[in-house]
Amino acid sequence: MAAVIVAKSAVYEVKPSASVTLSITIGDGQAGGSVVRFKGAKIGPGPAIQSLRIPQAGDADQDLKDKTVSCTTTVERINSASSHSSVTYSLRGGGQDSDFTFDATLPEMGQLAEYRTTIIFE
Amino acid sequence: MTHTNVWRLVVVLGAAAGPLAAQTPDAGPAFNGLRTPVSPAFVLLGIAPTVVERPNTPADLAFSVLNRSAAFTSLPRDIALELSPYWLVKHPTLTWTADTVRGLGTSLSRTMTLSFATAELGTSTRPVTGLSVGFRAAPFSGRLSHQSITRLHELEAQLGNLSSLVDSLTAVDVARLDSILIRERRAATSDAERQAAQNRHAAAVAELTRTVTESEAYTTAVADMKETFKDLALIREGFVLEVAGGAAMQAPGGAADSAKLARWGAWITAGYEGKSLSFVVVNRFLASSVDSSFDALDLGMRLIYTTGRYALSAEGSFRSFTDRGAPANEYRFAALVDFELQKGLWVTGTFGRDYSASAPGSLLAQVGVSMNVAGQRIKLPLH
Repeated sequence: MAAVIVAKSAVYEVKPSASVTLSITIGDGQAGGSVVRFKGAKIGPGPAIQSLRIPQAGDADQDLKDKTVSCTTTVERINSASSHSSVTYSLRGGGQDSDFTFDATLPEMGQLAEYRTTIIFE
Repeated sequence: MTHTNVWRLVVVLGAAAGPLAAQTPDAGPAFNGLRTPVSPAFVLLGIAPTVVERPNTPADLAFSVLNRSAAFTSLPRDIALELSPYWLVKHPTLTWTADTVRGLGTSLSRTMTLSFATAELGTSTRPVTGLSVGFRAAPFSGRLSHQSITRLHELEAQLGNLSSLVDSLTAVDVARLDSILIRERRAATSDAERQAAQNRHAAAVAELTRTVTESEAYTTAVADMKETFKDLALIREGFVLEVAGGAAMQAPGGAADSAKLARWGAWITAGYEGKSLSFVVVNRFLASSVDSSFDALDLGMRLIYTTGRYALSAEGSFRSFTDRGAPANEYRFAALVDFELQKGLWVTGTFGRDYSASAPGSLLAQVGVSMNVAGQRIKLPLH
C-alpha cells in the first residue's frame, strides 16, 4: 500500500517587511501531522499548526518577498466513511487572506498521503 | 476454593452441559439478529452480497448507476449499492477533533446511509426481479471515547515525526529546487511561464518524495508506526440511537408494470455504554404482503453490568405476530454470567428459555470456558 504523493505550490502576496501567519487544517475527518521549513530551519513541527508566525519574531530579516516556505504534511486515513483526504494551508497577514486546499483519495484504511506544499511569497 | 478445585468444577460442569450446549443457540446471535442492520435493503431482499459497491464521489455513483442500468435502458441487475450522501462530497474543514461530539443534525447527516439492491429471485422459467431500497441513520451516535482521542493524538504525533523524516531527507534538494523556482519566476514574462515553472518544481518535489517513501528509513518508520497503532479502534460511547427502514418490491418477468410491494421493515436500536452499566434496546417490525403469517413485531432489551473480573447480563425479547390467526406471542429470556478465572481465561454460563418453550432444546443452560487474550471480553453490541 504505497503512500499517495501530492506536490503543489501556491503564491501568496505579502506586504513589505511584514510577517504572515500559517495554519494547517487536515480535513475529511482524517489524521495527520506537519512540519514547516523556512530559510533552512524547521519552524513548526507538530500535529496542530495554528497561526504559526513567519518569519519568527526574532528573525532579523522580516521581509518575505521572493522567499518560500515548505510544508510537509503526512495524512493517514482513519475515517472509514470517506476516502477523501485534504489539507488546507491558511495564510493571513498578507495582501488578502487565502486558503489553499489540496486533496487526494485514499482508497484503503490506514493508507498514507504525503503532501508537499511550497508557498511562494511575492 | 483453590484454582485446582475451580478447574475441576469447570470441567465437570462443562462436560455435563455439553449435549445442551450443542443443541441450544447462543443467546448473543438471537438477540443481535433484531438489531438495526447495516444495509436494510439487502436484509429485506434476503440476500448477502459478497461484493457491495460503495461509491465515494458523485462521479463514482453516476458511473455505477449508468453502468448497471445500461444507461437507464433497463432495471439494474444484481446490484448491491450502499452510499453515504454526506461523505460523497469533500469536507476540507472537518477535522476529526470536530467530529468527536455530534449534534442531532450532524449525527443524522454523517451516519445516514442508503442501500439499494436488485436480485433475481425466481427461476429460469418464471423469472422474478426483486428490488429493494433502505436507509439507516443514527440521530444520536455518542461521542468518541477518551481513550480513542488520546490514541489519535499519539498517532498524529507519529505522523508529524514521519513528516519530519521526509522533510529532513529532502531538505537540501528542495531548497535547491525552491531557488530555481524563484529564479525562473523572476525571469518569466507571462503567467503561463510562471505556472510552468511551478509545475516543473512540483513534479521534481513529487519525484524526490517518491524516492524517499521507497527508502528503508521511511518504510521502517511506517512499519514501526503501524505496529504501534495496529490495535487502533475508534470507539464511540454514550447514548446511541439508530433507526432504519426499507421496502422490497417484486417484478415478475422484470416488467415495471408488474412490480408490487412485497416486504417492508423498520428497526430502532438504542443503547448506552457506561463504565460499568450498559444497555441496548432493540425494536424490529417486519411485514410481507406475499405471506403475512409471519408479520411480526420484536422487542428486546439487554442489560450488562461489568466490573473487574466478572460480568452479568440479562436479555429478554418479545415477539408478537400481527396477522389474524397467527401463532401466539412468544418470548425469550436469558441470563449470562462471565467470570475471569485468570487473564484471558473466562468461564461463561448462560441460562434461560428460548421462544418455543415446549420445543426440545428450548431450555438454555450452558456452561463453558473461553479464551480471550486479545482484549475486552464483554462488549456492548452497538458498533
